[in-house]
Amino acid sequence: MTGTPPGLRTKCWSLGGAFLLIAFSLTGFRQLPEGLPPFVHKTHEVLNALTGAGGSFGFFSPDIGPQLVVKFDVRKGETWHRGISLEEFLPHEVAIRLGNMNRFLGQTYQDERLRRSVAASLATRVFARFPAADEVTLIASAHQIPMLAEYADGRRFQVDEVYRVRFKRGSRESEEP
Amino acid sequence: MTWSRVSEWWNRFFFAPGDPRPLALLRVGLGAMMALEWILIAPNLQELFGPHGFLEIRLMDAVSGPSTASFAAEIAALGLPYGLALWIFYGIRCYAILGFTLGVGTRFHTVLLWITQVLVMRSGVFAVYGVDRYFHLLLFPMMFLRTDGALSLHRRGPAEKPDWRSTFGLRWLQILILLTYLDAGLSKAAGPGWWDGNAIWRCLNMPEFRVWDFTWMAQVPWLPKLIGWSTLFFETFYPIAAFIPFVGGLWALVIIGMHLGIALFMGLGIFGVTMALINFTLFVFPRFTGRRARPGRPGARAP
Repeated sequence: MTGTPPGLRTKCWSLGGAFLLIAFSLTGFRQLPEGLPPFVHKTHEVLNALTGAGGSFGFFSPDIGPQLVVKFDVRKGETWHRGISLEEFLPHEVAIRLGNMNRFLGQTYQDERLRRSVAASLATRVFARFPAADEVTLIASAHQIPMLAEYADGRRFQVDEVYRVRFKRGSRESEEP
Repeated sequence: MTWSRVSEWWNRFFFAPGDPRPLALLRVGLGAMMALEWILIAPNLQELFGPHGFLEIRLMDAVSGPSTASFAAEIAALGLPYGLALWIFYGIRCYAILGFTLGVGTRFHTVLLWITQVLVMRSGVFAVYGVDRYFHLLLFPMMFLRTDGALSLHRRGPAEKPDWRSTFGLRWLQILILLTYLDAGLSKAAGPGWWDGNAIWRCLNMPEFRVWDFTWMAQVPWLPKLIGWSTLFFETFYPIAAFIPFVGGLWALVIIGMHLGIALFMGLGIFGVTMALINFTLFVFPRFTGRRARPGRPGARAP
């Protein structure tokens, strides 16, 4: 078959299949409009999961807001280790993925239980890194980057603490100071 | 333009005999990057996907639906330790990556790799990022294409003769990738940040991606603005420019430069290099290898 020109039927099947998939990819890049029957949304979701077309490919779009940074204060007896981040123990490729999880913490403000669960899950990893720790405090801060013009006028990067929760070893309770 | 000329152009665009090496190089390049990603992630596999990882399995499942981790947990219920089940899954993925990259049983290994990729993508929206999405997007059509016509252990010796399937596959992947750039350009254009330079300024100064100190950019605001405008322009119009002779190659080189810049200045090494590689194999390499024998134009180049 190598080098043999395709027949009309082969051309039609090949192009038809490819164009259907490409057309589907186009719909996958955007949310479907509301009001369509549920099976359409379900089919769209399944096909997205199979083809990888779901969601936008516009990384960092349309704009970039403040970044949530998660750090930990660790207490061992009377000694404190402050400002520890999980990223510093990880290779960069893994740290990028952890950044997604940190961002997820920032998206959970509507659901207090979910936010606390995410915080507890992350804090558990810090306890694993510091087996002798008595207490771990998670501090989530929003790093506000001023606009270009504002920075030129003297305004500097601003770090606003947005969430703080303390976990004690052996306790099922957490405290929000 | 008469119908016969349109038809001739259409046939030439999609079905002219084409060199199999661009698709083969894409296969090898993607495989190498997936292998590198695998090596970098493997030591932290349990933390990313394990039951007591950064996000616990029940939490991940509650947020994003059943994941690889929960499948591993199901297997654990049958008596196979969870950690071992996870390693078996990643072992299978490693095997698929090797077969895919080396071009041994290529179709089988591409399908197997795609299955593991779908599962990885389902393993939490948090354990994956942009590069994994491009792996997924490309693996799907590659299951249907012939990517082992060259650079393959399966066939030792010179590359296969030019074949319409190579051209068709190349066009399919080119169009798919160009659509992602169009989407990227239009999405970015919807916000003010890419027009006034603040998006570039923030990208480079975000704590997560800050590799170098770029605060000096505030003194030359035209520079981030120029980079932002260029990004919008080159991404949005790439689908048109890619098929213009000569311009397409230069355009692709600019896009490659942008991705290498992302790798260098934002620390997104695997993402930046993978995207540069995809653009090189799909839009630059075919210009050097795509000489095809066409009646009357023996030396014509396929973009």
